[in-house]
Amino acid sequence: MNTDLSFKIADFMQKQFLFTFDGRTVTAETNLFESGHLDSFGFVELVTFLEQEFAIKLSDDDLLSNRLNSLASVTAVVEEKLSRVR
Amino acid sequence: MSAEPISHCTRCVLPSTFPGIAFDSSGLCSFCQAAEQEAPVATARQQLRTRMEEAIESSRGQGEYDCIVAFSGGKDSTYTLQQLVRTYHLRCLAVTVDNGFVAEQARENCYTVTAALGVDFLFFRPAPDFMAQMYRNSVVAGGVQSPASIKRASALCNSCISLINNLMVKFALQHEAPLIAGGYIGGQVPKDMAVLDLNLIQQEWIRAPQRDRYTQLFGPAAGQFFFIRQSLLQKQPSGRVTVINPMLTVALRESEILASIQALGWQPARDTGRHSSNCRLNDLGIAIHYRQHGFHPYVMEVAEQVRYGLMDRAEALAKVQEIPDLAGLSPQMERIGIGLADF
Repeated sequence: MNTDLSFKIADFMQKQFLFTFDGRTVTAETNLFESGHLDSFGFVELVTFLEQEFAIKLSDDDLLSNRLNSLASVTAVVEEKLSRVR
Repeated sequence: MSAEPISHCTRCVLPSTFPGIAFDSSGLCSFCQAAEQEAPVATARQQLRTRMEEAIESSRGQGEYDCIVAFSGGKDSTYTLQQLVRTYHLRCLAVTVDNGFVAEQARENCYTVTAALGVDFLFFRPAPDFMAQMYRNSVVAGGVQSPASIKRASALCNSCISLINNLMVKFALQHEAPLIAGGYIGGQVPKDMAVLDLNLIQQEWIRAPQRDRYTQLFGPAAGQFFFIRQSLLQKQPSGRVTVINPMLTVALRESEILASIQALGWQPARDTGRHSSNCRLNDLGIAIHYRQHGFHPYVMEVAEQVRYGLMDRAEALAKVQEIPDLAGLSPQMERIGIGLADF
């Protein structure tokens, strides 16, 4: 995983959604919807942040894939997008 | 709650107790500092309005109604309904969800306004026992809503909003309406919700864990309000509805909104507190939220109005510093089955 990318996304999530990746109850692999840390309003804010911060466009497939649910999987999706535009 | 005295942003009134806030040496908060980097508000709202109007045009004439309007009878949803009917000439079905605490004047407003605008109107009341249980557990149980939801509204309001939003999707599917409109204003929801293309399949995986929590906490009847059956989802072949919030695309002061809707016969309710024009439970939500979190649940939206020149700072400060007295809210507490020891 790209740690700089992951750090930036984690920083946004923690500040915006008011929780901490403490490595125990919430880890990079935690499904944040199942854990109750993210809701549908938060999802809108997350998608807007990712598209603006990294100048990417998330497709329907990305949004429907159920992959944007944890720090690790969000980072992976963004990495894939960025690798395609490089 | 901190024993430190609460200070407020020198521009927008957000308090030092607001989650994640920081101030510079002049007392300007981090939210105002971020807003200075954004496009001018008039430009931003014009762009949102253009996007909303494109969505309206592409949705017109497809179903039984063009638009389901979440219509509380309050000032913002009344203005929204008026705009959709008179400016955009949409065929609307106005839907009011009666949470059991709708003020009598607000109820009258619903009938008066929909008659004046000539739109169909549905008054829907979920079972009072279910609503009381939902409200009670929203306060008493932990983890009902996401942590960030405390920035937007009280626990009581957040659960009610979730229920109403989901019901509007159900009504839109039942009536084959491609649009759903709400009367949210800036600071209540993300700005992108001025126009939101809602993919219902995506919503299913986002909301499934939330619905499971609701069913556990609010009882099996929650399924009726927070689940959408596959057979209903299939009524919209595209799998999408578009949510619009016209108030996010305009910059209006409260006095302008009131002047506009009073011409429809709308009258202010006198028993709903300072921050609601339709709900008699709202003050209890505010009082509980302040006691639990140390800031007023309306401060985000009030601050945004001040930041964009739609409300005077002194008026805003007065609004967010006036906390309803719990002693006067015993009837509401009794109806939803909570006491002071519960929060």
